[in-house]
Amino acid sequence: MNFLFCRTENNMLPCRWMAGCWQGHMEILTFLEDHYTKEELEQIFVPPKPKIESLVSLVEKAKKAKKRND
Amino acid sequence: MEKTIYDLDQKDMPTHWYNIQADLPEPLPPVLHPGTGKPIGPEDLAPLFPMELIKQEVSTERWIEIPEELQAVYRTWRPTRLHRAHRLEKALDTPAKIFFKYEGTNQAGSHKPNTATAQCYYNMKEGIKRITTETGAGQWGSALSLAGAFFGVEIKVYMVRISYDQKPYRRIAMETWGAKCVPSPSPDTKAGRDMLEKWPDCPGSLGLAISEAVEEAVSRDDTHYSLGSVLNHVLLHQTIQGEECRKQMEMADAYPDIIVGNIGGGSNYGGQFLPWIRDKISGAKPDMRVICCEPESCPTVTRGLYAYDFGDSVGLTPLLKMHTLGHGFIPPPIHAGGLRYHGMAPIICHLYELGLVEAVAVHQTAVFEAGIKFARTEGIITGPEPCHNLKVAMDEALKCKESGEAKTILIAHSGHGHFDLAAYERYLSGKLEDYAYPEEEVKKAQAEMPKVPA
Ligand SMILES: Cc1ncc(COP(=O)(O)O)c(C=O)c1O
Repeated sequence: MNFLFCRTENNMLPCRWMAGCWQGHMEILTFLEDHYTKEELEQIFVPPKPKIESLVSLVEKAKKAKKRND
Repeated sequence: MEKTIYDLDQKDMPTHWYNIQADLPEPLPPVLHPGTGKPIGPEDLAPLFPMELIKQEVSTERWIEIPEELQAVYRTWRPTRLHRAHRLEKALDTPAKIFFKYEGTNQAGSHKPNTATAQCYYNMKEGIKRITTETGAGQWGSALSLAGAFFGVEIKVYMVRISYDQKPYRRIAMETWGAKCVPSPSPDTKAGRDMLEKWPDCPGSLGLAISEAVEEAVSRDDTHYSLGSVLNHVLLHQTIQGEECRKQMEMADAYPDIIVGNIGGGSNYGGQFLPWIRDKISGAKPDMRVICCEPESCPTVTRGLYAYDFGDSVGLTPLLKMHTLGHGFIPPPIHAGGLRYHGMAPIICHLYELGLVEAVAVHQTAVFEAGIKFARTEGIITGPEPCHNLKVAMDEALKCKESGEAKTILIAHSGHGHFDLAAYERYLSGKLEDYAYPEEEVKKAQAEMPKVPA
């Protein structure tokens, strides 16, 4: 589960610390380059949001989904 | 006679939480609304939290009164005990004086009920009937379920599917306290249904469980959401620990030179050290050290800084204002599930950036070694998260042995490990490794894992 976890924990993309954590244990950079596109890699390493901000984003998303349902 | 326990009378239990926001040398930076770019206001958070908690989140009042009804619930387990670890000191042959404040004696076994009960109380007062939340390993879900039983609030816990399958005991505990616990992804929400459609065997992630819990809270007027760490009001509720401990250390005629605690989202340790760090901020105790301990394999502060440089070297630019692990979360193989929480309290990040606290990362085998030593000296089987503190505290005590200094070390001990015996078993049977090359996983990585767009 270890590696699969690191590969999927960021919204089904690799964790943003994956390169740092796995460096020294395997050719992690080659692995990432081989398995993900440049766009995906950029998405993986976007700046993390503060918790409150991410909660507000989730609220907005849920409100929109609710409106569509009503 | 060697005194080993310092018990505070129930009548001396603190009646106020301490709010560090009153004493920060620089205020916390405001959080901006992702849509409007304006500071987030109470109305943005109202679908999730009761107004009293939203007020606490931004309050700069130094002392916030603990309502009497909540104090009565706190008194079902508080004050918790302060211990002097004489037996450990002897085993280490150190002149250091080691104290630990133990939060494992309550009904759920960790510090988490300190905020779970407070959050349930304020929701109940505002007429909320149901609270949703997410849980990874189950500690937080257990605490909130317990709190729901105390205050007659219905609790719905979205438990990350892989934990739901692998950790039945926590789930059973939650159900015993009356909560409803469902595996995430679940068919109960759109977020869950979408994921199940794309990946029926998805093991779940904490990020997804949060999405489900928030979606349900937003979709029902009688339902709110609750978070067990990271937020300012959560750390505030936890300060009852440090406030009690100040009185108990006084009973022991001691003051900590070093305070150690583990940081996942930062709630337990924040609750312990924030009431002390005001003495460092005021200049009364400039040399007191506050050490945050986290796992080497996936730390959120120390490795975060390292990953920043590393990210640049692959031509990527992660920004580390929040030392966080990201949005999604799948329970890791390292056994300190709680430490891999996917965010860090802004208050702790802020104090770290101001240079008021330090952070160290430790390997999990060393962490369990320390847990075993503690169990064989002080007798307590410690949760994997606080085992990190034990390791760092023991290292500091050994440094005292070398230097001959009799420093006073205070450990924030956040809970027992009675539900984590499988991790101890792995350690005892030599199967717990810091890292193993994931050869098989790498080989079959592409074959078995569907890519699901965010
Ligand atoms: C016993 C225990 N200690 C510590 C933590 C880490 O969380 P926090 O940093 O919010 O205290 C957890 C989280 O689940 C936990 O269960």
